[in-house]
Amino acid sequence: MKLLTRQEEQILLAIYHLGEEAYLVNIREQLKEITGKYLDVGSINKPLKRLHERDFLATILGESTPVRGGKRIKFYSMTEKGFEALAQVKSSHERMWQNVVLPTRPA
Amino acid sequence: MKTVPSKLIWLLNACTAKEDQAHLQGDYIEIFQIIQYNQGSIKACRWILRQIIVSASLLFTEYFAWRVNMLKNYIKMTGRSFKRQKSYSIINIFGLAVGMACSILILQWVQDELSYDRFHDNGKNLYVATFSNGSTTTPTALSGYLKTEFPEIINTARYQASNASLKYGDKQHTESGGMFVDPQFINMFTIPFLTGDANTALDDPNSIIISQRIACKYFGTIENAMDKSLFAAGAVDLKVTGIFENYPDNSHISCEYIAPLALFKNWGRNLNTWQWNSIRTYVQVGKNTDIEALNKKIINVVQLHREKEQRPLALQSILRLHLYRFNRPGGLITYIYIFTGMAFFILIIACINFMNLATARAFQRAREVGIRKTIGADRRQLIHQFFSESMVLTTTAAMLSILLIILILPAFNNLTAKSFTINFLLNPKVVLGISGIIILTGVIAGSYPALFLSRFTPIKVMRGTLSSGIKKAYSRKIMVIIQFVLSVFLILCTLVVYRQVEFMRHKDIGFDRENIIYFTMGSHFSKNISTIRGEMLNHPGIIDMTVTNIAPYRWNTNAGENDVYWEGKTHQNVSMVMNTVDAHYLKTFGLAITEGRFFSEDLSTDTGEAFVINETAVREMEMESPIGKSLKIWQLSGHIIGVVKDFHFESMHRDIIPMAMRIDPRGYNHACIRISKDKISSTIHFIEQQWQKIYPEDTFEYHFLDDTIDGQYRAEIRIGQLFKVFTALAIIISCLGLFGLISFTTSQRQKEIAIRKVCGASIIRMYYLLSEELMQLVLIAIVIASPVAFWAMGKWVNGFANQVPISIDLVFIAGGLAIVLTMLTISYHTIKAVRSNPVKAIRNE
Repeated sequence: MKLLTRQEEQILLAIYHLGEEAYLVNIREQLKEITGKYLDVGSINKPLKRLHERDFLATILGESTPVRGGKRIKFYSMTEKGFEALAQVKSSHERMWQNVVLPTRPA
Repeated sequence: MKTVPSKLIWLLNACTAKEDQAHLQGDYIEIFQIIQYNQGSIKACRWILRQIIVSASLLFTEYFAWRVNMLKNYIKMTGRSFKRQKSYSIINIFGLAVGMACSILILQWVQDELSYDRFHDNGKNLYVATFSNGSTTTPTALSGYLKTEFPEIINTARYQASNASLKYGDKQHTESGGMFVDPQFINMFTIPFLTGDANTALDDPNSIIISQRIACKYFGTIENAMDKSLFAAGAVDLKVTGIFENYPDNSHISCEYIAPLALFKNWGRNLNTWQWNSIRTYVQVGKNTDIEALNKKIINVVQLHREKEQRPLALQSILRLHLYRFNRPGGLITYIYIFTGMAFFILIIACINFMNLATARAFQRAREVGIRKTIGADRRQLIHQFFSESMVLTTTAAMLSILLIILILPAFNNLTAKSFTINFLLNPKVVLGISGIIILTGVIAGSYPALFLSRFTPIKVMRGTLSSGIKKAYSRKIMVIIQFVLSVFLILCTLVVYRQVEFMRHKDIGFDRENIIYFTMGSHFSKNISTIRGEMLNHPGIIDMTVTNIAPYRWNTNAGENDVYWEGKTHQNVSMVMNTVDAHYLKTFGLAITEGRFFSEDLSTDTGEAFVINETAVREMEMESPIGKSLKIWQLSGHIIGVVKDFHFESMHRDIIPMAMRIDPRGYNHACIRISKDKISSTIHFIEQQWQKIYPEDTFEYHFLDDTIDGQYRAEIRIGQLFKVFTALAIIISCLGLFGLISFTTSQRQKEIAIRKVCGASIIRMYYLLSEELMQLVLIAIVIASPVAFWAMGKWVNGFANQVPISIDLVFIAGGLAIVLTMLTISYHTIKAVRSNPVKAIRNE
């Protein structure tokens, strides 16, 4: 199976942390926590679609609210395959980082 | 708190893939509000804009790529339906291609005619001094006077056309397209100089500038020609001081070489006189000059210096010279309108074919539409599909039409006497025009199926309850009617044009025009005219010979004299032309005397003191008994000794005008000889020998009078031919459409035909059944087209002094033609359908 890209990994993790509340606006905020800056909507939506197509994510359409100009929310949640993919990334990371000692810069 | 501006939302939607639009828009709005809350509206708006720009690339991939995919599918479908219904498609495309080729060619012709004289940089400010009757022959002193007296006029130049002979070494030819002009002329007009200085080229009176063509003809190359000297007009050596690129054909003047007008002074011509009109005067006015005001100021300039000249003077733009007649309606512009109309008619006819066949076929494609709709195509997509389909077909037709144009261009050039090359297709204007035609035709032709077919509700289509056949297709009926209205209209116009031309060519002109030749004599010839005449008449082939100042049909009757006085004149003014003849004029041309007698050689008083006038002159001068009355024209006075029966001495475009004939040996220019008809070639050979005796070096140039007469109607003959060709094509295209349509309707009604046949209907009865409907449409078309055509052609014919009557029998001819052609067209399929074995049609249920 193809490994996830760094961005996809971050998005999946963000969704994992958000749990029930995972939709685009929250994901964007969560990613800001992780990476330190806001991403464009387009560059979040696109990997989301891709992940959805690969069955890593499931979607549920929520209610429409006046805050959103009457539009419905699209919630994302992790699927079995999504967890598997994350696990795979994690294990490959661990293997990669095994025995790596970085020189610490003197303070 | 404000919400997102609706325009931005719209933009956002355009940049978002369709399936994402709903929820993403919500997300955008939410984030917008968060930013607005934290950082203010401006920041939020900026953020939205940024999102739009960033996702613009998405717009391309999500929006266009998807469309291109569908387009591919549409093109594939077009190809498939083309293959499935070859005959329809070929009729469709071929008809459209012919129609397009016709309109492109016609519009090219129109555009060429409209381009006359547009290439002059100063074109808008150049004018010709013109008398109210359209004559541009003005006094030689006018030019200088206008320039000094009127500050609005920047520059003036006189112009004299001349076909002088040129000689270099042993090459000597008489060249047409020569002009003698004032030096300013080449600054006023745009002459495309290759070498030489336009400012000074004609300053030396013994200089000449020549076209590339002349340069190559006499000197081989352009380089060779400069500073050489050409012997011109048999009188003077002129140094070549400039060479210009071949002068464009689309100008009112033809220009091969230009020499200074001052040369005429050496030859004894008065170049500064008001006494007579002899030269054309061009005027360049300053930018933004009020030409109306200027015209008011110059209206009587000539009259101030010569009282007898009563025609008002005005300035006429050179841009109008080619297309319009001065102070009168009509002119070439009429034909421009007619042919532009024709181009569109033909295009409309071809488009209607396209639409008709497409709608007829639509019922066969209704199922496809139904399935597409069920699968999820919305109406817009279907409209897209049909439009792109018709675009593909029109583009194919356009390519085919370009091929056709390349093939028929030589014939077209022949017909129009133009010299277009296929390069005109590369002209950006033409390319734009063709693309315009493609899009226009595609949209018009595709609109009906696109808008009509896409309306089908899938259930109806699939259930098969859609009505088919021609019965209910009112719109198709209307279109067939339109098509035939246009066709019948064109047939009628062609018939009227043809009749008018034939009428002018064959109307009795008052004398026998056959077997008369005429030629310019030159001074040696006319000096010894009586001896030459004696020798000539000895030849058995020569019936009679006369000399005159100008042969019939070579007149420029604009030069009619206003200064006419006669015994008993009260107030009315008569403009009269003067014809210098000899005593043999009457017999040579075979004219008839109605009163008095013609000139006699035996009476010395007949020379110079006697007039013979025509009937029109008698009528206009209101004379009771003209014989013996005194008459004074200009300064020439005498008595009227006879009245000659009216005859046409100029083209039928104009009425016969008053004419006076008198004997004056000084005025003889042309010799006219009537030859007996069985000895033409030997007699002409004899005359040539006589000519060679007097002018051993010059070639004998002669013309047949009937050729010259026909030449007067060349424009109309040409127009008539163009009409014939394009009408024929229009009819062919309409018939092609009918052919397709009838084959469709018969195939739709196969079962009905078979059942009727089984029940015992006769073949004739069924033929009637099938053709009845279309025949009705054609009849309606004839009824609509006839009055319109009569009205339009009545206007056209009004432009002629001698008009052919437009009679009702034309309707029968045109209508009959349309009906016969329709019957022929539909017969093939009807007869085939009627004769087919009914078993075949009924069996496969």
